[in-house]
Amino acid sequence: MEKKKNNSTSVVLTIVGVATLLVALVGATFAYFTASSTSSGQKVDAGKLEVVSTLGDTSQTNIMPTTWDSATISNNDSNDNIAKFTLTVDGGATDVRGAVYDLSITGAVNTTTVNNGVAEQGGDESDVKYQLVKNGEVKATGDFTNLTAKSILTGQTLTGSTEDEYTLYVYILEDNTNQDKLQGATVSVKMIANAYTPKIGG
Amino acid sequence: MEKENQGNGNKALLLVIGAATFITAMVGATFAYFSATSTSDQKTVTTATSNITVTADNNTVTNIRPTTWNEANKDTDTEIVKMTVSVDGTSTASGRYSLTMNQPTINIGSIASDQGVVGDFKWAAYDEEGNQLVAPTSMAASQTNTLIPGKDKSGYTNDYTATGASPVTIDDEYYVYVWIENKNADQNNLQEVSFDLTFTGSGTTSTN
Repeated sequence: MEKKKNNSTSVVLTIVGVATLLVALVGATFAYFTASSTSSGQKVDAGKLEVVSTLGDTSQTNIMPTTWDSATISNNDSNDNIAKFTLTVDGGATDVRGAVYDLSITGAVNTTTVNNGVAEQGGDESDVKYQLVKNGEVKATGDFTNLTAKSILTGQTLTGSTEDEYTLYVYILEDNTNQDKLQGATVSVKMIANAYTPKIGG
Repeated sequence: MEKENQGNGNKALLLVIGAATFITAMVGATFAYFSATSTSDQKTVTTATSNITVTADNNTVTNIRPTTWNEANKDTDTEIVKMTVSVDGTSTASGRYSLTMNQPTINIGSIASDQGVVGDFKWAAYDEEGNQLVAPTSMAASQTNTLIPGKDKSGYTNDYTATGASPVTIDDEYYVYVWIENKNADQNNLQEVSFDLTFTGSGTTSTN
């Protein structure tokens, strides 16, 4: 009989213990006093990415086959047969971190028939070359063969203060053969700047 | 055994996830978060057209008769062909051209074999400063002659230079004299002989 009583006491104590534990776990809901605080609004602004590429006009006209001075780039500036275009890449209002830009080029050579008494022979768009130069250093070079949105420079840092200036040189490389098909041609070119924030390291 | 299989399965899954992560990292830019693009205006540059024009201003004297050539005092019985060579449409002040005289077949009379031959027709060429380019030469039945000798590159024999804004235009003058050399004998086969001389200019912008 005495033993039964002890068992009942143990059951009661167990129940009380478990109940106390539950109360402890859900704590605040059984608090006597409560308080709450909400901070002021914290604004979250996403960064802005902007890029503007501007290609200037050239003062050269009626260019003829010529040579490129790769030893002293600045010497090409005084060559009237090399068209020079100023390319500016502006970061605009970019404020996003880690932005970069790539440059692509699109160009074409539109030939025409010239009636100057010679059979037009020799010369094609592969003779028309470009050189992209920044601060006296050639960044990209190539010719006008199938020149459509060709990527020529990648991963250039872009910020809101970016005003990168390049010079794009366009010329007909003299190959000491007839290049008459290029007489009276119009060479067109445009530059495309693509800016982005890379996922890795961005 | 079952545990070992399960462990291998986990490893494979981790490898797949790792590889996917690596590929994503490698192609980076294509998964850019933000992007912007700008295409510049299209700009153009024109290439030159090289033109050369030869204009022959002849017939200052007609109905020539046998005479004696005197370089210092070219008489009126020499046919003077004045040519103007124009090179234009180029943007630089240098280039090269050649000038040739094309002479057709000369048909003379047949009065008598000793009364004049084609070779009695002579010609000589000078530039506008009076420099002799071709010394007195007998004409052949037909021939083509280079008028401006002295240069030897690619058949373009005469460098030109000029100054001024693009396009450059130059006008060079040349004179060809044609006469019948007086043989102090009958030259009746040459009476009323007529032929046309033509002149061809070829130009290049290359001076290499």
